[in-house]
Amino acid sequence: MIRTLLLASFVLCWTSEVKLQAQDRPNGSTVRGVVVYSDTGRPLRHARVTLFGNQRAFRTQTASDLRGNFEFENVRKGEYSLIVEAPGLLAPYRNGARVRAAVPNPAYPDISELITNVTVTGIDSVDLKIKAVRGGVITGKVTNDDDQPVPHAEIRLLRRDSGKWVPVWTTWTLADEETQKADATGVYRIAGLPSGDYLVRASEPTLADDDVPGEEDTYSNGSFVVAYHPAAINLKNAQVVSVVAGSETTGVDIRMKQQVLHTLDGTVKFELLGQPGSSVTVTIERSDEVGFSTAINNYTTSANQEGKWQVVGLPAGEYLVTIAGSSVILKDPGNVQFVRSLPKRITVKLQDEKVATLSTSLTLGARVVGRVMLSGKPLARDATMTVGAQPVKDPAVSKTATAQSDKPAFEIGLVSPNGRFSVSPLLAGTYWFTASLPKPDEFYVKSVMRKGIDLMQTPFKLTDELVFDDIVVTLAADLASVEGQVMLPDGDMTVIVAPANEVTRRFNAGTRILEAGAQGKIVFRSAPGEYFIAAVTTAEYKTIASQIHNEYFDKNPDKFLRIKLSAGDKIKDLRVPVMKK
Amino acid sequence: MRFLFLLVLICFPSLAAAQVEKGESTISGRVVYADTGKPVRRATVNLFSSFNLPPERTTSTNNRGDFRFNEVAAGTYFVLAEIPGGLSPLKAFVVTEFGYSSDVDIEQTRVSVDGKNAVRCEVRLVRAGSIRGTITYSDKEPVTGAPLQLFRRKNGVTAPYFVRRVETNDRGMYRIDGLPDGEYFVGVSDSIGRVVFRGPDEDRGVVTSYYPGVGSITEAKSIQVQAGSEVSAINITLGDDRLRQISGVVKWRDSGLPVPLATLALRKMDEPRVDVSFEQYLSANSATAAYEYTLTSDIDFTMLASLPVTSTNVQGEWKFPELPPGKYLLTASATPPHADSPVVDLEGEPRIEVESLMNRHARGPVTVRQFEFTVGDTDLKDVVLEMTDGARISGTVVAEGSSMPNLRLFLKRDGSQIGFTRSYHNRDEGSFVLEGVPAGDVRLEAQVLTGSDSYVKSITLGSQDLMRSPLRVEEGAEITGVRITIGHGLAKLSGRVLFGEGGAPAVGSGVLLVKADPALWHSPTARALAIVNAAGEFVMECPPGDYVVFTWAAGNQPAQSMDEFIRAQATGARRISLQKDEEKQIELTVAKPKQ
Repeated sequence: MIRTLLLASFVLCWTSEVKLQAQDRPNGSTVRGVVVYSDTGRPLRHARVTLFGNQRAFRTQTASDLRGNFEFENVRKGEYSLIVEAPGLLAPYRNGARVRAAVPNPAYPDISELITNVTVTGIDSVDLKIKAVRGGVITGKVTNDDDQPVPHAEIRLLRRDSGKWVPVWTTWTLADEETQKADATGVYRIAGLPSGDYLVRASEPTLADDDVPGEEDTYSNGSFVVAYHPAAINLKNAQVVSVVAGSETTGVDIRMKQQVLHTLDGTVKFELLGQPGSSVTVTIERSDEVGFSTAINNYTTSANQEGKWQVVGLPAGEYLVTIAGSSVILKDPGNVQFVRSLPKRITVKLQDEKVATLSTSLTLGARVVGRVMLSGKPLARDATMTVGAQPVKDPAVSKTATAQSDKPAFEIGLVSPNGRFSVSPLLAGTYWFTASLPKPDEFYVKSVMRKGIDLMQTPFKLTDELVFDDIVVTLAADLASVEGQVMLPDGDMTVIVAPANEVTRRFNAGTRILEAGAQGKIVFRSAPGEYFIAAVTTAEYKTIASQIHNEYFDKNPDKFLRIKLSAGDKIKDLRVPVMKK
Repeated sequence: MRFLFLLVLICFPSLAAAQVEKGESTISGRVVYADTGKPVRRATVNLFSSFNLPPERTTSTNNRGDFRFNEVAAGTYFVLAEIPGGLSPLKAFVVTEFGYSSDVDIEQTRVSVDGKNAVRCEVRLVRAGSIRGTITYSDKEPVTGAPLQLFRRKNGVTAPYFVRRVETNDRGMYRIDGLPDGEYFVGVSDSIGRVVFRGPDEDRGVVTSYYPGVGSITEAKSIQVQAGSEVSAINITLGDDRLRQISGVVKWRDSGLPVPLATLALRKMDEPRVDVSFEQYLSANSATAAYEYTLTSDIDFTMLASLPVTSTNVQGEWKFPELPPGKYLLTASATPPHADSPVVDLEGEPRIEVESLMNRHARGPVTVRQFEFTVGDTDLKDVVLEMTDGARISGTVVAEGSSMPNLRLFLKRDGSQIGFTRSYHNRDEGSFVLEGVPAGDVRLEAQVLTGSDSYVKSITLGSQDLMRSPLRVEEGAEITGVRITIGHGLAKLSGRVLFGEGGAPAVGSGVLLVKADPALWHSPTARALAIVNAAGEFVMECPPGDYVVFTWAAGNQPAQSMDEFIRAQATGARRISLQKDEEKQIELTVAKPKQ
């Protein structure tokens, strides 16, 4: 119910937002058009039409009128993308009402056909004719063994994408963004689907419940009681449903078999502290659905004060249980730290026993501990500096991956105001040390040493629960200073300065974007290291800005000049080339 | 009005966290379909002591239809089973000043336990009625994603009927479920506002067309629904060719300058609405504390009081596109130009974020004006609405022998609250001021917020009694010296309501206490309302004085406005006198509603 309330209040907030027409900015263009259905040619009324700026954060919306016409007034010069949304249409974006920037819908690999590119001069009007394409429809009925409907069964679709099954976002309105429900008679209908192969999955609705145990075999959480079309209890036996955009696939019924339901409970404790794992979160996923993200299925509960938890309503089968601790307070002498424990992942098979019990100890994992020094004193003021441990083998693993994976993950830690840091929890593995400074033109990381070993150049190895301490990070202020000149500048120029090798990237905050001054002059200070440098026109930079990360430099090294800076260098006349197209 | 909603929403979770009293009784049973006797699997089962309070307990049935509440405290309860497609008093109802009203029989599963024993019961779940249809434009293309609006006619009165929000799907099809027997009207609101949730084009809420395709409910065809069966082919052709636009400008009368960001709320006169402001509804029910519960249970309560709203742009211009023909009332509210400039330019885009708009309304003052107009065969263009700064009313608040309570001050005219007028009550200085008051006769109302033993004893201006007579306000006047006197020592009235003398407890009945003096009948602060709980009991607190008492049985709630009801029923109603700090018990009777 709280969710309903929040949604409702969101809607109210949203409606109070007021947009003004920009009559005070007379030099814009009018972008107008008509939306028609591609199959019937008749007007599409009250469709949501959204205009996104390609080069700047801009988004405006309107609706088509009763003749399918829409109009945006006073649109500034620039490149725009226009999308049309309405129930039943192929949708290029996941719920355009909620995202302010254009976030591509992962379920629709080729969205370009659904986006109209609009070039606005700021003077001339733009007239558009948009053809809205009706998607496909899947509809059917969800019933029990005894032919009774399953009212409000939750329906989710998986679409085959490059040989894999990927969850699809299926709704258009603000409510029930992630799920679509069958009606009171068990009938469901999901529209706006692109052509393709689908699996249709139903799960029982979740009912309201208080915490007092009731009748035997009751379960409020129905999300584990799952069936795939036509009557499969797991994904493996599901039948593929083919959908063609513009047509309906009917009779996609789902029969939900009555199954014996099991209970899984457990106790968690923090091993190092000898305390119960209170408020630890326990996430349960069906093993055949792991990796489908939260869109498809998982269920999270938390342990009580005694570290006990329980989940009821589980059919026989295999489950992945992830137990993740919140922060615990660790008292080192004179140094209180909040430390997260290592999440634990356990596969549980429920077969004969009615109740299965897990006892879990959470450990803190390995930690990397040390301090940051500047001019012989602990770094006192720059509390926003972060340090990290980056797995050597797989640097692409995301920072949040520990909850999802058994592999070592990139973890970062904040440097405390007393210069101390602690990075945890870490799995056994080999890591690089990393550091990131908020102001890269003031200080740089000069050295990272542990017991005589240079951690800037050497990776380190962690075993389970190892505390890897006494790391001393030394900062220095004698940056290299560079004065330069863009060769043959063409109007406003932007200069890209990017680290050119692994060591520089790990310690010096990555890419910097500088606005060149009059006649293309630039001045900057930088840590010693190797860099790529090149200039582009500011307008062109905006079109490539989203691509500017490490891969781009590694793929296009010949577009840049490569320079090496040493501590204290004073370079006066660096000639910055304009990037090759 | 929508800002009030937000406040209500924010308050709600604290209610949900109310402490549950534990006993050792067990209430168990089986939920079966009333027609077939077959068990209902996975039904939600709630235990209520009163439908005006959140459920004491909630569980569900297993696959055999069985449920059990353990650890139940002594008391009398309703056992209510709910399933989509089943009748529930909480999922389909009418809301008026008298609280909410549902026709669903709530008496059948009343259970009493002593806190130790175990009781078994059978809960018979009645299948609800439903309405199904398709909504299309004149060229047969579907009206998609449009909300349906339902009205119910009972005892000659047509009122909005609240069920779970239903929208048309991609083919314009809809299905409204959960309906008890009755006569209904179906309308659809195909507004642009539902598509783009902001901007001057927003016009949420006006019913564009009623079944079978007419613009006014007076021409609409009613639909007879029987519980357990479905009425299909309730199709509506929208009549898009008769929709018109009204547009114009809002100006300050004195300067002629445009009014940017004025808020315009529109009401179609023939469209039945919940004729209470939400605030009024809450205050009328405040004696029972947890009034919100029924309104938040899965219902699209945003429909309750949200009129179509738009705002003027920086030039003071506004429009409501696509209105069906008919008479409308437009309420405009605006902040005079000497207040902070409301225009915020965010990243170069002329847009106001929610926060700044809310701040502006919180700071005020806001002036309010009402205009009437008729939409006919043509668009209405260049309609000029003139606003003025409004008058100012100020005075003192005196508390007699008690601490100063929190006061809410508001104005009424012709029985309706004048929205958005700003009031300030300074508790420390014992002063108050109301700003932006429109000219004409107004009623000044002062209400002590709950949680206090105080009440408003009198409101006077010189020799004039403002509780009993309206205040004449001239345009832009400065009225000072109004005196509000606060008394203390509320009386407590409790008792039982029975179906006739010595009859069964009339659970779910309403009890209304109104000051006996007819000159006070207009005032919502001179009333107290209670709903009888599962044990047949009620309790209410009110200022000392002479009262008339009204009762009605559950499902037999008065259809007319409270003012009309009081006027019609006062002669012959039972009278009661309450002294300062008195605790009185009475037994009331009520006629059993005809089945």
